[in-house]
Amino acid sequence: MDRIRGLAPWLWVAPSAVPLLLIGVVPVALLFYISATSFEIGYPWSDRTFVGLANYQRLFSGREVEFWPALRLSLVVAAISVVLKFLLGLAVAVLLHRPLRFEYFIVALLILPMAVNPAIAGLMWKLMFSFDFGIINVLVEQWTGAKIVWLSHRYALFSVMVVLVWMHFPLSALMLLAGLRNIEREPLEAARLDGCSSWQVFWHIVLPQLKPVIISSSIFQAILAFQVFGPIYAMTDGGPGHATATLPIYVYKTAFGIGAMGLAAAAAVVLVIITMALSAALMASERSEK
Amino acid sequence: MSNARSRVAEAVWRFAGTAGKYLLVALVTLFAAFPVIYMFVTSLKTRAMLYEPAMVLFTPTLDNYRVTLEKYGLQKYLLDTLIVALSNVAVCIVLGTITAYGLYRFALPHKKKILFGILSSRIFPSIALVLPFYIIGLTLRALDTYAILTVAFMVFNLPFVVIMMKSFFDNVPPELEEAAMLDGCSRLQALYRVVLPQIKTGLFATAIMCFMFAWNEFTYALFLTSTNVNMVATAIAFFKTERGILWGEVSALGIVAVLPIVVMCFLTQKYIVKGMT
Repeated sequence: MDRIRGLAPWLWVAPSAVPLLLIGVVPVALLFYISATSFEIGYPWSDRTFVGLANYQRLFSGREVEFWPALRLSLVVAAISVVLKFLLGLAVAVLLHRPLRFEYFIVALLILPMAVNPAIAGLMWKLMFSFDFGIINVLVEQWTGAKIVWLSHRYALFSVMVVLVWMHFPLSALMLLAGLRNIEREPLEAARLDGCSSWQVFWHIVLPQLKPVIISSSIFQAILAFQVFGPIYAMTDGGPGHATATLPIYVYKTAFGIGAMGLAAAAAVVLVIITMALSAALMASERSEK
Repeated sequence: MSNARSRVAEAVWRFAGTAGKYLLVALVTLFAAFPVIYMFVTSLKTRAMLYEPAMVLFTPTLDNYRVTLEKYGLQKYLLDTLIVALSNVAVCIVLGTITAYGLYRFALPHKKKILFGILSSRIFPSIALVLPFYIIGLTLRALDTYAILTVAFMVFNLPFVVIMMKSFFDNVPPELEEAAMLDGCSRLQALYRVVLPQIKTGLFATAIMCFMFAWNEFTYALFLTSTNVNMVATAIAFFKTERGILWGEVSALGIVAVLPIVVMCFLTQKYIVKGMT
């Protein structure tokens, strides 16, 4: 480490610290401020009035009838999709953790869902789920003799959930795979020599060692699940009705549909706070490992 | 005899296990890649053929691609996306590398906290930050310009560059640049001539990933631009008509938007995996 202290180091950090501060701190501060105003799209910014916590009151009192359902739906989506991403991710990680032929090729295809533009991904699945043009209905019709309206009130949430799991399970798989490859070998060998079945080895020795990775990947997935916007926008736009209207969809419709920026900002602040709480949990879980 | 038979049985089991494993791997890989493949196949179909989703053997047509180019101005969306992504990557790489170097080279107080602060600005939900950016754009009359997207995308790309480059710098021995500075290089020259060449693959991979993030951004692009600037993904709106979605054209657009990313994915897979985990 260099002995240079004083101003010089800060000159190196400044070129990006200043813009980072500007684009990281200013928008967040502005977001909090907007949430305390009555600003609406279509009016000049100078027309806003300061309303304090009135927007939050409106949201939490239930007068905004769509807010609580949106928050609840986001929680449900996050909870279910995190579990599904974990299970699928773990299965894939176990499959991949021994050397495979064509591994490079396989991994490149596996990370494709994360590399595709989220809105285009939503469209791809909308096409797959399409009543007339979708491949999924071809299979369903062959098995059951009838097609399903996948984006109907009854099935839309299920369809969206499939897309979210598809989009992010590779991340879980890769994180768990890295965890599996870091596991100590000796206890595994010892347990096998003692006559443990491979299931016992997995349950009692591998999983406990994976626990930190499982926790951090799940929290990370929850953060992603709460924020997801593009795929739902492209697939269902929150509909039909409010069947898939999660918190981000509520924010966008309130801000850019109705134009109630102040109210939308208050809902966005709720989203930011959830994100921050989850990332604090992530930090705490990583610290407790050390 | 029985010994030989059990050995045969064991071999059969092992073969079945391996085959089963590869079958499962193939299924998962298919699940991951299928939507892209299906969209590609759909983009090659005529409108009448769309009603037979399972049809695989047909004479492919490039009509959908031609229509998106000639009628909907696909090249304009591609050019806009390219301009925004490249200018954002250039700004983020230069600023981020300098900061990462400062963090790696100097004993700064609160270094851990600074790193965490930089990292945490990355996880803010874009749907929340798009509201203040909209107000900023509105008051500065910068909505619907390349500039506002270039700046907004810094929210996620600049921290990413700093974190990635810091990890690459950490692997460079400090003696290297000390030697260069003894030979009369300034610190900036030493960084440019001696340190950066050491990590140029990492730098290149970071730039590619930033490009992918920028290319794939959707939320900011959707709400901060409208008619002047059109990123590829936001062009979807033009393909919705009263009769529904023009799936052939939309598929062609989607494939054009995804193709560069797929290629980059194959080229830089190793770094992507490392960067994500």
